[in-house]
Amino acid sequence: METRAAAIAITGGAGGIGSSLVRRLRTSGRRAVSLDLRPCPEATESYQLDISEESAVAMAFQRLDALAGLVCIAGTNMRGRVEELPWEDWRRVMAVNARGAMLAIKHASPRLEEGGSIVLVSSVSAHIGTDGYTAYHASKGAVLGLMRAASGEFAPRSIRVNAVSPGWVDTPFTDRALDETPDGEAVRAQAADAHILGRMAYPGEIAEAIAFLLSDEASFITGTELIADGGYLRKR
Amino acid sequence: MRGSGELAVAAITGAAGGIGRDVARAFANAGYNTALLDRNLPCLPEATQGISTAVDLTRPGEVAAAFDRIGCEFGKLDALVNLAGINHCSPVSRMDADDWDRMMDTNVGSMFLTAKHGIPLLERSVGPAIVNMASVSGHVASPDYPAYVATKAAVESFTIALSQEVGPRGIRVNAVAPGWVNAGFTDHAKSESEDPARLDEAARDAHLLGRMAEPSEVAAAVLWLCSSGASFVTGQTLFVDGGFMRKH
Repeated sequence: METRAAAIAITGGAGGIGSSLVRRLRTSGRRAVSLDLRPCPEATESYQLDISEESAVAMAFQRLDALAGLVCIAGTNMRGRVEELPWEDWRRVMAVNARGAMLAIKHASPRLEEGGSIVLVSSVSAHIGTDGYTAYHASKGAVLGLMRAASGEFAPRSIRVNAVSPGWVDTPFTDRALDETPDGEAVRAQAADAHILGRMAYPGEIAEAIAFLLSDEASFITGTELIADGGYLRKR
Repeated sequence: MRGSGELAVAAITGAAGGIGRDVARAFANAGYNTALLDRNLPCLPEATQGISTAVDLTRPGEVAAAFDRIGCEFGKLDALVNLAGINHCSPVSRMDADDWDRMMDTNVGSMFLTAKHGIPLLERSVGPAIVNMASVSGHVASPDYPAYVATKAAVESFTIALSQEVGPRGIRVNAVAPGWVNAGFTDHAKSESEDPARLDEAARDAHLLGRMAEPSEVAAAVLWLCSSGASFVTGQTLFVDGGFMRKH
């Protein structure tokens, strides 16, 4: 399945989904480079940076060798309804989730080998709206738009660009979001029921979907969104 | 691939077709026993364990009998792959109602019948999955193929409905939507076309990747959706279209 020697760069490699993907790739003999605010000890190389800062992103990618793939997972969340959300919070979410993905693609581009693969992590949040997650919903919609646009741009180099959209995933990111929600425990209790499969995803299941799109098994898949949500969107 | 000790079993309809042969081979290579179903008696891929049955998938009695045989032979089913499909070139204004029915029965009705008779066997598996063959044609109309367009849209709606029904029992249901595939089905469409050369060029232009899919690329996606790697994917359509939808 995995035949390339070149590395995979992963933004948000230290997070729940990211570290799971790093382990998945390392297990199958791939080199995985993490770009994250926090270190990722399991990665082949780990760069600590803010993915929304262009100079830092540019510097990190300049130090890398050829890449077989880029995965953009780094994301953040700020609660607030439209009328209450501070401009700075809106910009922070957009900077990490949307600009960060754009910057990673921009600076990974010279390193990406022909036939490579880019995977952006969006969310079912791109398709729905929930009170208080204004910026997150908007940013994940932007990620899908970026994916579609980039798929055309990179097609002449036979580089595929796709997105994976999870529903609820059992990660520290989800724990933090629920901690900040007034009725967090009630929401968690309902989360399982919100999926056709009756549970949240394990991070490893999202990592598997990303690994599939990175692999040559997905050689004719580009410009599309793989929704790995256990039937969350279908149940609404 | 499925990570379990005992041999997995896959039933594949339309297994004698251009995509079907590659799907059958992919499942056999991944270690599945295969039950190949088709109007024409499909040949088992080399070095394959399994059975091969000639069946009219639009006849309830024949479908029931075919799945009875799968039950007797293997005792369970891990993957049900519905590929059987036909095409018919006619605008609505000249459409023969019998041709319309034949399209609906073959392209969608067959999936209903195989699900109906396959589900009891799928319930005996750990991590069972159904994959239905949809098409970009369910989203983008081709002028002379209204029946095909309608059946392929119906496949996706049926996939969503079935995923709801059997999800609580642990059965995942998804669809794969290819663009143009370099297989006999496309050759047949070309033979019906007034200008096959232009059709070839259109096929190249239609995809971001500048070519049609090889059947093996569609087979790889079908196999993945049935694997444990796709354990949180259900009710979805996976486009294996080289960017066809993105270009439209």
